[in-house]
Amino acid sequence: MTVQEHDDVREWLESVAAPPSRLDIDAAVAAGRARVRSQRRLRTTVAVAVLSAVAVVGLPAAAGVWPHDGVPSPGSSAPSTSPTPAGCTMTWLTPPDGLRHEGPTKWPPIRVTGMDPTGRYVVGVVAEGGASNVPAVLWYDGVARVLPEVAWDSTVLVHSDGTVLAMRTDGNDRRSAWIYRGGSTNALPVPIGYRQVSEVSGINRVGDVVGIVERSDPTRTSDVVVWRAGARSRPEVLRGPSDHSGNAGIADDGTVVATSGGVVFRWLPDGSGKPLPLPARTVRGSVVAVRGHWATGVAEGIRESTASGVQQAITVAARWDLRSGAVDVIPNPDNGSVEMPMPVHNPVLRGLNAAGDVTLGPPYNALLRGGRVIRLPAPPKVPGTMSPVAVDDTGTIVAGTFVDDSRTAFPPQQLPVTWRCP
Amino acid sequence: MSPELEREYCEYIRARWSRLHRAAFLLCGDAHRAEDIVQATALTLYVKWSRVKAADNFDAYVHRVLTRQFLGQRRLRWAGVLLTDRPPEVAVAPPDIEERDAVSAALAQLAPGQRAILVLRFFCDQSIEATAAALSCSVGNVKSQSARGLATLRRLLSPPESSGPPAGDRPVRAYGRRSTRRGSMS
Repeated sequence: MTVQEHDDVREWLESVAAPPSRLDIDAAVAAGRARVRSQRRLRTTVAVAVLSAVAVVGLPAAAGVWPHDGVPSPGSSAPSTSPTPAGCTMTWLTPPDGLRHEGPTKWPPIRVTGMDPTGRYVVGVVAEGGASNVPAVLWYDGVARVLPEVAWDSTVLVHSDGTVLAMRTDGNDRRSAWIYRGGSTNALPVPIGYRQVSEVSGINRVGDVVGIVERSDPTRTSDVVVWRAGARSRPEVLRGPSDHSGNAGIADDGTVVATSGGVVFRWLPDGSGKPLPLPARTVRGSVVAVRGHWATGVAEGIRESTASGVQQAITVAARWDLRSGAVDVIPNPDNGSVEMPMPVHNPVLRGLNAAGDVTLGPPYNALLRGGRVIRLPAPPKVPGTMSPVAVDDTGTIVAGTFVDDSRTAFPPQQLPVTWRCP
Repeated sequence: MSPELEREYCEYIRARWSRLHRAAFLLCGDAHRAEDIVQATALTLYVKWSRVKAADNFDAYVHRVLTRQFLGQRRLRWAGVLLTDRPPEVAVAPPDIEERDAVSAALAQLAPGQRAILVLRFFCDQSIEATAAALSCSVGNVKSQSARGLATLRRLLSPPESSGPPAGDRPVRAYGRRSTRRGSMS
């Protein structure tokens, strides 16, 4: 072939205009840093030491004062936090101005749905009653903004590089999973043979995303799906022993945990899967959260009263170390018992960090950090319930929602908050 | 990575992203896979940046990473997955989509290794030796596969023999007209 013919080939190839590609250099660097950290952690295997090196970032000076009637309005010199004897302080996260409205509450109810492992990003959704798609809010160091897409479902998570994961429901009730990053929004692809993404429920340190997909065939069976970082166009489906329900989570090494027919199932990064053990005296379980190399969940069993012979259902909070597969029980912070009664409609066990610390919602309202029980305070003299949903990797920042029951409006005013527990 | 190394990495990625993405698109022919390939390449380069900088042939190292991402992705079991529900923001048609389609369609008919060789040699301007190193094969193999790939590309992008001058004088840049006869390419 001649030089001229080589030039022709070059022209052919140069003539191919690739579709536009947008470089997000911050995301590339963040992903690189995360990968380096992950590799370093694997090499050293001193997970706790690495976790303690995660930067502790102060909560925002920009956070607002408590918005309840009877306390000073924003802009006053009133203290913005509510101290407790345990040392935790609660801070209200000011919503973005774009959501402000007239009326006694000034803001719509907002429910916090997630926080990243560094504690700098917090996400939430407007909790207007009955709406399937609502605005979502992203706080960074306490400064809020509304995400550009106006229609989000209730599931919104955030990664430490600012990537937000969310669900949408279209007019035909079909659900889809979306990634918002650097000002653009992209759908996560649905695998062949599947009808929709039912839920996106976790993202690990390197950016692997896990969710649940529903088959197109008449069985409508659900399977676990993973979109690996750097290969999100090619989702991997993981099939378990039976239909999947509830949450799925992904550990930093790529291990996936999900619930399949009452069994808590674990897939290792090589694709092999097997059930995780359940705590003693329990017969079925479900996973709630996965972070770092930990997973938490709820296990159920039967207790027979020796006095009356009556059988009684019990619930136990379980925590698995995914490196060894071992399970232990998170003790009831009120009495030290292995049993932890949980309200059906208000998930108790939500927050989990890479050190294995957990948050407990009502009636416990606590952060369990390194074996210590740290109570999360409510604002003084305000009746209501709190719902902590996430804890950062240092175990000092908890994000959640306080539901102010002092008002008569429906839905009750929901206030995005963080607790700082040094 | 030190701030200085990170700054150098960012400068390099900013400068080369578009070119790397185009090379990835030529290799795989799919916009979304190209995005994945170039992002995975950027990630690998970040992790190995000190080694990349120290390489004798900087560009050859980068292209080797890119090519291996492409070939590695092909081996994964979900390589053929259907993509749906992508947002319209990346679906803007380029002005000369027919020409692009003709060359892309011709490239798609080559074996992955042949395609990689042509892209590395004639789009990334890599030498035969560097191409062989990137693909972990011999120089002779690059030469033979290159010749076969080019012959196939010529055949697919040139007008039919029956209506033109002798083969040696045939125009090779006929793909613009080719798009009106796409049915005959199969």
